[in-house]
Amino acid sequence: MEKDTIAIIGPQSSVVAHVISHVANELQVPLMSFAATDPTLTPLQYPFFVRTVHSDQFQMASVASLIDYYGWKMVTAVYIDDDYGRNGISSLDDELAKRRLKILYKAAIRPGAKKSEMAAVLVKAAMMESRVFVLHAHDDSGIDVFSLAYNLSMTSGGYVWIATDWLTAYLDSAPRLESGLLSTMQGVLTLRQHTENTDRKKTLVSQWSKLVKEDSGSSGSLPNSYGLYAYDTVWMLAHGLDAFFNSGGNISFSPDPRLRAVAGGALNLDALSVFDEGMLLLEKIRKVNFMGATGTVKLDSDGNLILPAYDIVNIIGSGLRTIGYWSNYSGLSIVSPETLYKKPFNVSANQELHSAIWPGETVTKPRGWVFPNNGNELRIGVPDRVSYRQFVSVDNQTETVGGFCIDVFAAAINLLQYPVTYRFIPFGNGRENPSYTELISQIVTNVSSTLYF
Amino acid sequence: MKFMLHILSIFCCLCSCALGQNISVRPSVVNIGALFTFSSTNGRAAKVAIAAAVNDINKDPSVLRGTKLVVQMQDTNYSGFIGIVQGTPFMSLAFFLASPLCHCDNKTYSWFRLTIVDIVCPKRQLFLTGGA
Repeated sequence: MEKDTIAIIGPQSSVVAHVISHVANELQVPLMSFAATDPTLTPLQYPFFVRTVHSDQFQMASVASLIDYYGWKMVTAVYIDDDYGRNGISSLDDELAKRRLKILYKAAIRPGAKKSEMAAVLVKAAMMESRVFVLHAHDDSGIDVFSLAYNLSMTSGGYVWIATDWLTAYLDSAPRLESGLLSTMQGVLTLRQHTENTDRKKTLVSQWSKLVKEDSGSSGSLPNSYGLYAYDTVWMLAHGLDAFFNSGGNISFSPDPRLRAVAGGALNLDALSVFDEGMLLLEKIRKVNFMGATGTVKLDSDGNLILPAYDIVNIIGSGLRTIGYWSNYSGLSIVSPETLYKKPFNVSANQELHSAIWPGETVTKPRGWVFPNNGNELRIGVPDRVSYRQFVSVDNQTETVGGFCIDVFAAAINLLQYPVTYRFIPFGNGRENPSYTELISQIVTNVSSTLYF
Repeated sequence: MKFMLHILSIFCCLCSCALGQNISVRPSVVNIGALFTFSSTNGRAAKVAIAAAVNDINKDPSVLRGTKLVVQMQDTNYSGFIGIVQGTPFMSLAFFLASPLCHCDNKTYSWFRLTIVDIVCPKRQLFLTGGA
């Protein structure tokens, strides 16, 4: 019995969590994951799965708020096609729909894809209309996507990249930031799970280098949000266990009769036993309420950690700059969520962020879309007139067009912030004014024109 | 006198019931398991943080007094299916998951086997990464 575990910290991966949550249910052992953020891992289906980190449902709400704030209507989602990536993007879709925005194109990357495969996915995504890319990946694949996008000039001016919190988790824990790596992601917006600046967090961070030395296995990494959540997870379990013992809980295990029935005694399943009072421990864990390293640790009635919030981070030069916060409580703001929690609830409070530096080192917010590469050019029918040639005329020798109307059109086109390809098509023989009725009928038959002077 | 004895016996009975219900025997050691990919970004941070938390909890007299918390981190570097079977109940169940299936569907069997092996040995992993 000594060897039996009464709770599991983990798993880290959402994919694994889906598989072993069934096991946790069967053996009545709480599974406390500090890093599986897939929104579909809910206590409804997996009662013994306790998420001790914020669900990506909230992260996607903050991404959708960002997209809405900057006024973009359509985005391209680039993601790893596993439970974590797919379900995260599905949640983004829901959040965008609430704001009447949408994912124009889903660029799925196969887990374990080679760089050539990733590049093919990116090239296809670049042909689409949207220039706003949301990247929801794991750190290894995400870094590869950025380096490929950089080589494909997809991180240049006009593009927008919003990376989910895998990026800050990676950058925060890196002992030093290489300029080569950061050059591939200049102007990127990314998120970080917001943790309060608690005393316990300060102590933990100040002792981190010493702790790393004691732990010979890890090679000099710095703490990130997930590390802090892992720390609080163990405390959560300790507080839960305390309450469990206080209410008379005992640790005992018994063989699972259902397993015996399935296995028919042919397999050696002696090692498998059910934690008798697992349900009581689960209840106590769900009720804990204490001040951890990340802030107040408490689960709401849906099993989510209370007060989800994210830092909005802009990658500029050799570092990260926090340009604001998103909280489920009051949306985007430049003041920390802790300050807002003290004020009365007001979700329509002025949604505000500090200005960001975008790809191409500009402060001008990118438009977020272009005419797709596979689009048609604008064809403009120009009547080859003999009268009122000051308004519009066609030079019969050079076939160039001119006149007041053409000048106004050219000036208007130049004011647009994106290129529009167009072609003038002369209509008429130049010896008499052409028939406008005939000209109009060409729109119906789609011969040439979309616009006339 | 007889009446007094009767009262006394009821009192004793109540006391023993109360004792039985409210005072549990706190074990000296409680084992918890930890499953994660040590070599990943979040795994590296978690490994240090979990060890620090266990240390802090065992030093703190206000929580779990008299009970030592022991974390068995599932090191992912030892390999193989046998290791799974000998491991925690979770790992043992992998065998259960895989075995009945292998009689009927070889592909399903190998999928399960790979998935569970990945929990223990992610360096071999084919399609699972140490992400969120």
